[in-house]
Amino acid sequence: MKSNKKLNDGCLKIFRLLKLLYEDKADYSSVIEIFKGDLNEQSTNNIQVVLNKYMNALKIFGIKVVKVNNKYKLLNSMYFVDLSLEDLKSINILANSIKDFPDEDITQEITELLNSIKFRMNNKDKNTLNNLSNNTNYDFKFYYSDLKEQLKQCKEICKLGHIVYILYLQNGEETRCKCTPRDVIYDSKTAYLQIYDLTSRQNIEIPINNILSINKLPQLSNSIEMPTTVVYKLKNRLAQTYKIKENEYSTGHDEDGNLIIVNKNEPFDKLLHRLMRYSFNCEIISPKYMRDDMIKLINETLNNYKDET
Amino acid sequence: MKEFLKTNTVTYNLMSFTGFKSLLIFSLLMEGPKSYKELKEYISNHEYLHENISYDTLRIYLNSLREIGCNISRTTIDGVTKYSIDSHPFKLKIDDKQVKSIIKIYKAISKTIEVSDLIALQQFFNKISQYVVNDDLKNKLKNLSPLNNISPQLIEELRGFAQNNTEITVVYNSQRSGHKNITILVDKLSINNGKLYVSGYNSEYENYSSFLVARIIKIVSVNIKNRTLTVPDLTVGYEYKNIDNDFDILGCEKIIKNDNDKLIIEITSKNKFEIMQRIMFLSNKCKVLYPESFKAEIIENLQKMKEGYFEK
Repeated sequence: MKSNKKLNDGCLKIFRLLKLLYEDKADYSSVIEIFKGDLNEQSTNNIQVVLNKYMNALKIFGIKVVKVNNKYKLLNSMYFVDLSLEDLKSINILANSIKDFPDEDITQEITELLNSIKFRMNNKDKNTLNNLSNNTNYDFKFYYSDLKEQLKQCKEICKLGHIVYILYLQNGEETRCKCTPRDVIYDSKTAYLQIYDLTSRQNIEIPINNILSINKLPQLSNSIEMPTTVVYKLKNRLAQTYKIKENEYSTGHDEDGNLIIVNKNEPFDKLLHRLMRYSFNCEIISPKYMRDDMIKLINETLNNYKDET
Repeated sequence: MKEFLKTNTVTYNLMSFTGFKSLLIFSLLMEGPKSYKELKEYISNHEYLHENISYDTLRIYLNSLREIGCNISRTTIDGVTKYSIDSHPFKLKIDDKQVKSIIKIYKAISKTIEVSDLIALQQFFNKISQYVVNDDLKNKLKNLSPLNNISPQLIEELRGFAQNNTEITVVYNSQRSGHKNITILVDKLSINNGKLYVSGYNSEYENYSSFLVARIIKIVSVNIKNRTLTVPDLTVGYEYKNIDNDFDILGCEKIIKNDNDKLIIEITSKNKFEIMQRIMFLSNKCKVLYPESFKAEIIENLQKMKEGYFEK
């Protein structure tokens, strides 16, 4: 149904123009389209005159626009984002962190985001940020900087969505698994390829420098995966103080007051070591093979002291 | 335009007055709530406009702004209705890829930066989360930092107390016993397992303990008398089988010997529990060398763990 609301044509036109400029889509032909409407019978010259008036309105208002290769570009915003000194510090930290980061996609995404924030900054904030950037010296060293090529290959293999065979080193031994590669993730010292192991139905994070080979299979990976859930119980004081993690939920307390936790998606190896921290205040209930793995880990650790006991 | 730059006067031939007024009304409503009367007065006094504009015309401008996607709210106080722009199509938009990239880079740098920088980043993420399109990622960004939901002022105060080893009493929301007063001679702030802890000598338990900062309700008193933290450091030496070259050293650790795939490490802390957790976490790759009493405790813990799996 057509609205009866009265609208101001000039207002609509200047904001349509701004919308194109903000989206960086203001090529000359798209801009002209905005002003054609009522001027069908007029010449392009007349449309250009009207366009110039609107461009001048922007300029006189303080919005700078330049034309580069038949495209209009906005040089400053018509409004500013309110930023505190702490925000500017954060922008500076993020800008420094991506200087030597080996993942080009991440670097590009964050650069674009920071540019779009800087674009909405007033001159005072821009100057403060410049001073911060000149006077602070963040030295972000990424130990995996020399793995640029391997990182690129791992990211590619994740994008392809095929099932792969991966051969990698685990505890110094060659390990082979059939899996779906998911993502590349980072911590301060290691870059990992996150995979879903189709045999053990678990997520695994393989340090990229431990990967020996990746062989792509013709099959595409199934988007529906059923990762195994691990159930464990927490005893004593921990049953009352434990903070449930993002990938967990609790089914409540059992008759002995133990807290029952259901864990999904945490890589088994990581989970086992985390649960070791809880010592005798934690016990894995299921699946049985995870319970057995935990017993094995305890025995192996005790074996380190076999001469002492 | 040249004429304008020379004389600073505008004419109908030079610019679109309607366009200019639209920009002006938009920016006035972005500053904060304005009534029709205030908008009218501003336009009438503007150096380029000097124009008497009717309420009906203003209403049409506001309708047009709504048409291009501005969300304009109205509030009436003491009979005066004011308008303001709550959102508009030109605002910053942070897409999924950008948020995921921030999350990844944060995880890569968060362990190596100062607490003050973590505080700044936490506040920044909170602020920019309003521009995140995807609700799920918006929450992830807000909850990314271990300092989430903790007052930055409290963290700053605790940092100061840690530097001076000040004794403080706080109201602590214990998960076990509810609200209670705890007195701590503050030693340090640290992030463990993604949570912020304050550690120090606890006079109630007469030991060195760590408390979750997120559970501190408020600081009720500060003992201005100088106190000395007399809790001795515990140093534990252990061997680590670095077969996968995966050893991630902590700030409180130092490598004493590096023998290819075997490292000898010393960890020092006033908090025995913290060392215990570290050793248990490293489990089968690690063997405690000294002191004997600590080694015996580790073995006892492991045996109790094993018994837990086989009893009944």
